[in-house]
Amino acid sequence: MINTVLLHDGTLDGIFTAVYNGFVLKNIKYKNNYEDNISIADIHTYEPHFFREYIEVETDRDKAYKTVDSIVKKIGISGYDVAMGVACHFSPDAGEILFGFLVRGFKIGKGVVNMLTDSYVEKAFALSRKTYNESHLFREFVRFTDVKGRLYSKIEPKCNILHMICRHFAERFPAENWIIYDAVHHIAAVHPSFGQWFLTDDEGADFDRIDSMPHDEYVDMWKLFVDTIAIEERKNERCQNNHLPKWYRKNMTEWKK
Amino acid sequence: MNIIKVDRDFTRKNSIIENHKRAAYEDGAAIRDISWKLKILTDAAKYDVACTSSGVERKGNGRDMGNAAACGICHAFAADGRCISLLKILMSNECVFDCKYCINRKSNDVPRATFTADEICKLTMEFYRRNYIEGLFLSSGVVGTPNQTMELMYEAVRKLRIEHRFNGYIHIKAIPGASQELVEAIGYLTDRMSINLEMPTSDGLKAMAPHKSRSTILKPMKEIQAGIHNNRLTHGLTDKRIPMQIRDCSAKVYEKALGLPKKETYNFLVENDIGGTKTDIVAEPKADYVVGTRGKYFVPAGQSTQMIVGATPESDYHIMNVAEALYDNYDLKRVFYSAYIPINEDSSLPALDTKPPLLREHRLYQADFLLRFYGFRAGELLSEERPFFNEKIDPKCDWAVRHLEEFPVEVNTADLSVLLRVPGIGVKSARRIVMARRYGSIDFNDLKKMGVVLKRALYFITCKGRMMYSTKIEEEYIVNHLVYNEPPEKIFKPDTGSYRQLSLFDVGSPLMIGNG
Ligand code: SF4
Repeated sequence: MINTVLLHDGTLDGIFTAVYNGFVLKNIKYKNNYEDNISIADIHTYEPHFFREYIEVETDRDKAYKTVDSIVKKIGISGYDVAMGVACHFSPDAGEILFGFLVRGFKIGKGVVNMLTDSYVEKAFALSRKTYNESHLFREFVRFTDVKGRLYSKIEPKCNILHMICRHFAERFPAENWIIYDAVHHIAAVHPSFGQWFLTDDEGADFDRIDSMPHDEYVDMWKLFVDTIAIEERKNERCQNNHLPKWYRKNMTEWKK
Repeated sequence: MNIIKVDRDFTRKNSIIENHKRAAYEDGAAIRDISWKLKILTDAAKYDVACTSSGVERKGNGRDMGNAAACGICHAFAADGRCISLLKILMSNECVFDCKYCINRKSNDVPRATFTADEICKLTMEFYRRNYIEGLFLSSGVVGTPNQTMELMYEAVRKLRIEHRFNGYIHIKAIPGASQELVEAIGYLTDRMSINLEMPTSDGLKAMAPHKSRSTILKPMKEIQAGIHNNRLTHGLTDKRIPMQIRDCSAKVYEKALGLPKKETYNFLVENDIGGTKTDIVAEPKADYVVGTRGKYFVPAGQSTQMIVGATPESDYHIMNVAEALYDNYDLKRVFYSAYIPINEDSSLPALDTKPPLLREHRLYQADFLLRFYGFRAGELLSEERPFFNEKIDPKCDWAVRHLEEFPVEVNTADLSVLLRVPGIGVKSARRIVMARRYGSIDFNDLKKMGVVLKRALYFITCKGRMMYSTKIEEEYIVNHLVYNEPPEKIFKPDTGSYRQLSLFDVGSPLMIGNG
């Protein structure tokens, strides 16, 4: 039963710092008879529970890096991918599942990714699959608008997937100056032409100003193309909705009025 | 862009402004022109179904625009539910041929347009950088002769790859009857090539497309196959299932693979005016690079083809046999099936109000998957006596209920190849089962988590010797339940093992039609 919850600030650094502190705590308090007593949660969204102790974690990038390094070393890349997927999921249970998964991972090693019958491992897989599915969708559905030669895109993902899609776009558009702004998590990815991309928060940035920039004429041509390519005799709205949930359409060029 | 200098001479100033106005007007006119062509040439290309961007993995080279993902990426979905992955256009809808089924045939009175190479490049580049598309799908009507057409197409693709340095996906539809040299030259610039078989049999083709013949289609297909085969060998690839990985370019390493993303403060919009242009390049890329497939890789994503279903009287059995032969003998990556949509009036064609056979097309795609990924042969699924697929249940279920002697299958011990033949178990879930059972035995709950569709699978499997419910292994009984298509909890009461009696009559319309 969970009785200690470590609260982080919701950033990736924060989450992995909390994992670090969690393992320190586990080793002090529970030594050998550990039974999933520790969890981590986002300080902004957690729901307080009577019999639990809450400890606020101070984000520490070095600790976060150390955690990531040892995850990769002990559980392997595929285990790290699963952990990262869980860490970025929005579910309130993600923290508990992440910690449970890592506890098993550190005990068992790389083989943990095949232990699909363990409930923590299975849940971790399910959550991370959802996260990666969403990140995959955003590789497809990000739409850039040309703003005086630079590219700008706004997204509103449920999971924290921005950093997962940047490498793809950096590789694809190395010469372009582009920004992808995640309006839900208030972070932006910035890619200078032929430079290294990085994340930044949106403090002081005025993204709304971009909407008043001159109209990008290729937007109209794209809409024209999407409308024309459909075959009237095969109209199938249900199929379209299955592939492209309405929820994603908000920021997609071809769906904007 | 020119810079307007402040000048005291009003006349001169005025004339400069006039020039700018005219330039702006011409820009606008060019856009209107290109939009008009885009509409006509998209409309003319929409009946071609082969629009995937899969089959080749190409890293970005750190300098030019574009890369390609082996799994393909869809970017949008049209109102007919089909995925949009490529800018699918015709170069021209002029055509000297007169194929009966085609909207662009010579005898039709439709608005005609032809893109210039520059227009094709511009559209592709601008759509691509906005992340609208994975690349270009270029087909064309026959302008003059097949060779002249292919030359124009070659010029467009050459410009795109070499002048614009486009590194994304390109799919070219070869024109039947074009020369081997042209096919080869284009092949080194594209990722995928296809030639439409159009009709499943040569008689059908003769009746429908008097200017085409089986040999003008199969000959280039063979040439492309040979080209691909030799090219893959020079790159050390003998297994034709492995996608070509194009990595030998100076891809920049953008980040440590493992580290967390960096966080810096960079007030892009506040400090830098967004008015900068692409000229403020901050770092020079390395000099050695490979653009696209130029000169090195021949059609790395393989070739595909398309057959029209329902315009001529061939059976599903015919079509599947042709598809199988194409996979076996021509190493095709994909065969696409396109439900015939009546556009032209002709005594030898189905009437104009005929509905496109979408369900039939859907069944063909399902069967096609069985050929490609599940180890089935066309002769197992259909026969001369049973030449059409069952409308009510999918080809795999249909096969299973006619081979009940092979079931039930014990999931904890069955071979992968046996698992693959169980309805409701897909390639992924079959692999997961084989993986997971090494660590302990599997029951029905686990199967659900592994993505097995139990409402189909439950009639055909046991877990640790037990069936999920006490269902009968009997053709009519299973078919009735499969058609009903309800989740098992609704039909069966797990505690007693009894089931609600049902028949086809309370079924309504259970048929689902999806896209391929
Ligand atoms: S060759 Fe036949 S199918 Fe192709 S565009 Fe011309 S008429 Fe249509």
